[in-house]
Amino acid sequence: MKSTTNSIILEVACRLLIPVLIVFGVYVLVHGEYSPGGGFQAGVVLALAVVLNRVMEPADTKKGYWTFKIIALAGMGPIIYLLTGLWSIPFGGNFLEYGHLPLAVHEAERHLYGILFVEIGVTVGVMATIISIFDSLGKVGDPDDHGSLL
Amino acid sequence: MKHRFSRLSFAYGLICLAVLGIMVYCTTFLPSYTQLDNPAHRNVAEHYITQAKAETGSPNMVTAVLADYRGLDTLIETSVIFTAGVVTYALIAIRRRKNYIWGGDEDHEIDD
Repeated sequence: MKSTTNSIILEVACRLLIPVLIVFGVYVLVHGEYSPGGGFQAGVVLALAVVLNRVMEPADTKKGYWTFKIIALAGMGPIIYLLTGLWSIPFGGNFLEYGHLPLAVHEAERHLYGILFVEIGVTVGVMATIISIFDSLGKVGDPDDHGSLL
Repeated sequence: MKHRFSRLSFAYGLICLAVLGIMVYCTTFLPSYTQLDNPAHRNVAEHYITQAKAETGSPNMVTAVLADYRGLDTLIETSVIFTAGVVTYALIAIRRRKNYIWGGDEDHEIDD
């Protein structure tokens, strides 16, 4: 039988850790306005969940990583941020002026939602960047992978 | 291995040096360090501490400053992180794949 893991200890530890990391990352993201945390930290925690999953796999795995797609995802982060900033302009606000977002809540709460959208953009950018750096560092030239930049 | 750097990368280096020179020159217009009457120490900090909760609705002052008052700064910061990822990929992954395609020649230089 082909081995599906590096070691049983690593796999058990990662299986315990990865769901906790994902839940904690989302918690740090959406609770960032109230408690210490925010987009950058949540991005790092979520990226660590994916990186642990890659560490858990055996070294001779043939599974192709989505290097180029993950870079495109990293580019989505600043774009989400930028669109949140531009969203308030047609409604009479300045760039990144969250008080003019067209949400049916009062003004201070619109700021909260604006901060949340912006933090989601930061999280996506940081998470995908860390995963792409890990993939680039660990990637040996793979003959079957022609699907990216070259 | 005829030449290590092509003419185009020389031009890139000149552009980078020129931008660096402009940036260093612009630092002379900034207020100096350890000066207690800097604008940053007079008005803004006290305004953030007293008004952040009322103006942004966020009890976390750090988040209020990071994402609301200094939103443009954080936008550029995020794109800097994105640039770091792209550059790491360009430096490591593309070079490795080219080496694989061209027979794993370690001395091969990528021009331009």
